[in-house]
Amino acid sequence: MHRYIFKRLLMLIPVLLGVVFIIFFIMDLAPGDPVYMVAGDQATEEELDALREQLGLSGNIFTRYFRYVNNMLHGDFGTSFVTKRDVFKTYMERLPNTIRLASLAMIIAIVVSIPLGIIAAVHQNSLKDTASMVLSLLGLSMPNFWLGLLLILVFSLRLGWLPSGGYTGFRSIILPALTVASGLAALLTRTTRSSMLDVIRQDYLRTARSKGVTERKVINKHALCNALIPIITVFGIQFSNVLGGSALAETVFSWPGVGRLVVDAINQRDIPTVTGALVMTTMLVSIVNLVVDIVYAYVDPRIKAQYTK
Amino acid sequence: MTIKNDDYIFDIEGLNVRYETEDGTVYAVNGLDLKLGYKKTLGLVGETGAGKTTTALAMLRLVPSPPGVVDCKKLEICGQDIRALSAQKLEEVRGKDISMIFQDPMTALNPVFRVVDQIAESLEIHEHLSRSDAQEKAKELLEMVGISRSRANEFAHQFSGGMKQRVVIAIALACNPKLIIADEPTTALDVTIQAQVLDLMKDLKEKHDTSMIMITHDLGIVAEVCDEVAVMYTGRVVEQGTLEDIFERTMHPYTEGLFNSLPNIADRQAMLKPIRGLMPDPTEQPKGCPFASRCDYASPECESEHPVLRYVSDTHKVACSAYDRQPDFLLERRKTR
Repeated sequence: MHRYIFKRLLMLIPVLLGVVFIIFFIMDLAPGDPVYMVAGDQATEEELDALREQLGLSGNIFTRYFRYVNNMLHGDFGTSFVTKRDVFKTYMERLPNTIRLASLAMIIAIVVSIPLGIIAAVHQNSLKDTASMVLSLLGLSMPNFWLGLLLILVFSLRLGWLPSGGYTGFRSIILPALTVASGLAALLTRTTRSSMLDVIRQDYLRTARSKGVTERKVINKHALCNALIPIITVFGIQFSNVLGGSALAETVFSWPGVGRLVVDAINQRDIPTVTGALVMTTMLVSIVNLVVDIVYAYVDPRIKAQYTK
Repeated sequence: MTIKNDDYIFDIEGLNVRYETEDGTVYAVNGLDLKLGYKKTLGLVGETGAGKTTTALAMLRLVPSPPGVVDCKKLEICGQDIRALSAQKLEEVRGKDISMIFQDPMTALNPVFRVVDQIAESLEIHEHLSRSDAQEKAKELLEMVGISRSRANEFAHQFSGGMKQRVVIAIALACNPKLIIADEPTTALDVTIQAQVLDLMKDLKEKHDTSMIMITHDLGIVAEVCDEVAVMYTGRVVEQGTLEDIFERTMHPYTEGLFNSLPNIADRQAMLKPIRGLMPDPTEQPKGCPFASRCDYASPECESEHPVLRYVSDTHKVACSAYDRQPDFLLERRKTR
């Protein structure tokens, strides 16, 4: 198991190098020279060249790539073209906000979706099942920005209960978290339901019932533990998605998170910020994936057996 | 719970089970009557699809619903009316008074729980043992079925088929039930393990005075462990009696067909005589005798009149109308003896 984790951590290195290169390549393809954005219209050719040198934009893509990777390994992600601030620092200021939002949204999603999915599966084809499936379809198909605006309209403008945006303590996180959670809960409910349906007719549940295990425990322990793997998979994907920043919800609620940082940086062609933020996000996503894979092993002993092979 | 009937460990009358699927209704068990004395072993014999397993599941109220629909005139086990039990009472009966050994050990064990915990669970429920006591007892049970206690903390996928089957047996035996329903407990095992498992079950039965239903299509096993035999066909008992009644004084043509299908080591030149034809479609309920279309002795009346299970001696019952029409009717098998 430790060997497996070590191996996975080692594999992070080529993944990160690859991601950095792809980001570099794409930013290079984007039209327009960022030097003009920084220097303005009045700059002379000499000034532009000097600035290019200073910003680390001289040389071909490979030269710049290796320079960047070298700096990155020394903990230097560059300075923003726009704010002139250290990219790593800016990112780290934004990250806690995104983690707060992501965690609360995931908690809400789990608390709602797992019981709902179980109920839907146990009462398959009943009214309860249909109701929860309609609800989750609604959650899936409702765009985040629209739901966000709707919530602001009702809870901030009409009722005045909660702030409409910014970050001013716990009250301000509720609406964005609900908005992000709606889509997550919808997919998790569907996953829970279908995974439980796969398990619910298995022979070992009959064995459990024949032992005199209560129906409640048959479902919540014997069945759920076997249905967890797909649920954890979807959970992992969703969690890494929201860690990368929920750009739409963060924009609607002017939430100072990573998602908005990246969107703003792209709009301003702030290459160091975009690259730095994406690299950091890649790292986070990889770590979440690794954690998910480790959790698999604890949930299903058959997977653990494969890891230790 | 008051004991209503001292003579029988279970007494079933008029059991009907049907599965209502989208493609039609499957009549799995049709008006089955069955009872068994204490400490006896009943062999429940018949082809695949004869309703043996469904009967067993109905006794524990484990028929999945939907699609299963069960109705029954009388279902008394260990003196309790199983039909009337509340969900909570039913959970107390399952695993403690009645337990079941399931057919397919590959799927009967939960893949994500340790083997020892799966055995200990029923001890925790019914004997209210602490977790550690239950685990200790579970390890003893494992040793009793011939699995070293050092493997108790492993998972089902680390066990061979035979070991899994023995774990399933250990689960069923954990709380010394009064009635064990063993659904083809040895089908998945090779012959050496099969013999071990059968011996084990025989020993335990004698030690704990357990009654047992042995569901099988292996007449050899029946001859070895059973006191009584019930032959099932299309969800009905067609012949029932003591081991001798069935083996020596066979009366139903279907039972004879089962014996004829057995390979005979003494006469290897003889062709196996399988029962011709197939079991009738279980979605239709035949008007006459369900076996008529496959029966060598069938007469036109058999197609129209439904045979009733009738006593032909104190212990022996048969459902064949040939005996009503000609009192001296005798199967080929009996003539040559």
